[in-house]
Amino acid sequence: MTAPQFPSTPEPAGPTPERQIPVTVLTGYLGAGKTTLLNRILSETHGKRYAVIVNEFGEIGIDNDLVVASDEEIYEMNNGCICCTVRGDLIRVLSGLLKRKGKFDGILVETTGLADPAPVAQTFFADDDVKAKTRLDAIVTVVDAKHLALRLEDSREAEEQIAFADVILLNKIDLVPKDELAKVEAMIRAINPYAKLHRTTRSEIGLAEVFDRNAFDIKRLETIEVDRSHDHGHDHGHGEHEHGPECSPDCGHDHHHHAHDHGHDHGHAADGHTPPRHDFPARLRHDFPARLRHDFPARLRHDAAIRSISLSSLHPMEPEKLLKWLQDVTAGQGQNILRLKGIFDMKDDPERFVVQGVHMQIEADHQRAWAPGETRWSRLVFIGRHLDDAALEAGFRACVAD
Amino acid sequence: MAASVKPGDAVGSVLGTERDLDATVTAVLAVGGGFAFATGAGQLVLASVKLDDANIVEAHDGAILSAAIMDGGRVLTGGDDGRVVMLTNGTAEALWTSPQRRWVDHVAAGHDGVIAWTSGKTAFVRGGGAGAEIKDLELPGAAGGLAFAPKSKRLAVSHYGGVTVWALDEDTTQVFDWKGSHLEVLWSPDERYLVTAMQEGAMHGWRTSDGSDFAMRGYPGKPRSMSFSRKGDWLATSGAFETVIWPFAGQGPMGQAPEQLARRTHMVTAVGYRPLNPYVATGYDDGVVLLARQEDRRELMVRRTGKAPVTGVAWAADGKRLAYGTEDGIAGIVDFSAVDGKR
Repeated sequence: MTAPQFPSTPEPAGPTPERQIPVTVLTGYLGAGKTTLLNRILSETHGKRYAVIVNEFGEIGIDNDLVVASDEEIYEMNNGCICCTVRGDLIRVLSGLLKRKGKFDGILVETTGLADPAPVAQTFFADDDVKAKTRLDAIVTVVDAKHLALRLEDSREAEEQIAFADVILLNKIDLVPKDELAKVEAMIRAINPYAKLHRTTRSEIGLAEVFDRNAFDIKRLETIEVDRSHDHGHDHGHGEHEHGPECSPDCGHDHHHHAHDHGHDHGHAADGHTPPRHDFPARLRHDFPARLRHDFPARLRHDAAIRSISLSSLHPMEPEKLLKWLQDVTAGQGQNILRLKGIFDMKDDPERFVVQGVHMQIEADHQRAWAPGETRWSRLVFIGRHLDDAALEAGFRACVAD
Repeated sequence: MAASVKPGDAVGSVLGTERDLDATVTAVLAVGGGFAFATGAGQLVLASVKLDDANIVEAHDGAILSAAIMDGGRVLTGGDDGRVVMLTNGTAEALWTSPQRRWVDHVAAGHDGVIAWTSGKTAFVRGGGAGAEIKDLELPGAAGGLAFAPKSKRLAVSHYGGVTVWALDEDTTQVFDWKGSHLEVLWSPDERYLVTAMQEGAMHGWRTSDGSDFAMRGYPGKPRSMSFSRKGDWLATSGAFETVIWPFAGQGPMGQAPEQLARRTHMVTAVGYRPLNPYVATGYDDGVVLLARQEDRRELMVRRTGKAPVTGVAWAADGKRLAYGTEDGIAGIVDFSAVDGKR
């Protein structure tokens, strides 16, 4: 039986928030080198105070009262959103940590090797208290260079951990020959083109590369970093390639190859610095089509492989259409969209509009005024499974202002 | 009390005395003739009337996460140092320590010295007698809340998916289930109802006799603070821009609309029914504290301003004094006896 709802005015006029504490999420398959990194962070002298939330005390070699053990508990939110799961234990532990006297410079959350990172990330969208006091800074994924191919064969989680990453430590590179390393990097890029990638041995990395990345802060989203060192860019920008987006990404038609040839003209520009020369229709990039995946592990060749799509436009966007489209896309396909990030030039709007999301949870806001002389353009990246390139491109294009 | 309390007039405010405890106030309790404030620095601050003369006891090496009052003015606390501590006559004694140094998230106290606590997915009970053994119960998920039934024969532990009620003498359990994450749990004074505050902006309730349940929805925030009126006919809750009060008299809140009290543009974070009469002490996320009378909705200002949310309110048993604590470490005590006397 249900008691009737009572009316309430949502007027969130809370007090000025204190500085939000950055939370870094550390993922990585079993044996990748997560614990080595954790122990480094806990033992090295860096003058910072980090609280660490782990699953097991056992692996941590250091007795430190800032280390908290917590069993991963995945909760479904009763909000009608089927894929909205959160880490219930994290809500509890974070709110407990915030009661402590003496603040931390940051909080590090270690997930189990078999964890899907989505519930951790969604915790920072779904819980008001967590959202008010902390911010998700970055998802850092440690990858074992030697065993990645094997992991991707047998583990969906290994693929997801790479897909969600903002920072990737490609670890144990000393155990892998150079040519094999290039192939491993190509596999990573096929899943996630925009994570910052570091090659490491024994998880040796400057802590500044791990902490305070602001990867989830839409206010700080300056560029969408797409690594193109392995880019086989396939721009269907020209009118004559109208057929391009209709093809499935795995079609293997040689227009990919053709596009690749002229793609070089602009394909290597770091996103955010040089906009594409092609203006309209929206540019569509298939990262790593099937043709280029032939020697990858089966998981990456499968239809359900995680991959990314980048869309861009030099024409301003229609705000109402774009927001509705993003809502529709995430509501309808949110289960397949692992992450999305966008920076938009909205019509008649002097400010940059930024969006980011995890599955069905999206966050959007005005960011800052476009700088004088800055080229105004829009760009949007999806990482996910079963992404319908043609539909996404058509939907995006329909949001361009007349 | 006379019916002359209006906001803004001369008797429209009764302000208390305050003290900065320099750490988040995590719990406020009425104890003996005074109050106990638990802090994020592991201290218990015991004050009778004057906060300046408070007795400060170092109880935990870390934050106190939960506190409860035992018979005889003793205080029970659980902390993120993995310990359960009992404070007797100003002396702290550790009763239990988590072997894995897991946090003690919740503590509760019943009559005759029986106590309970939770650590992760385990609930523990210790009887009141000397040398009483500790019994434990594995839960389906980590405990979100813990409460003894008023007669202390049953213990309710909330968790993901519902509430487990542990009948202590029989050592049997009964689960009241409802999908979702259940945080604080509370019994109605007559034990007819169990209510929980949920993660997703709702309250849930069960009639204990037959397990029939009801949802109380529509909160813009999390309803973390709950308080039954003395007779148990009303349940005041936080989590909205007013205090939301559900009727529990007669057939309970099923099919009934709640009353709303003390509406502001700020979120209510702490509520407490006065033991004497249906006045609700109401704390907000901006640090303001009001006393609102349910009968005619008149309000009395108790704390005009603040910088951080009110984390708890507690009434002395005689209803003459009210204590509050805030997230930024302010403890306050308000004395209403002079006001009562004049009217």
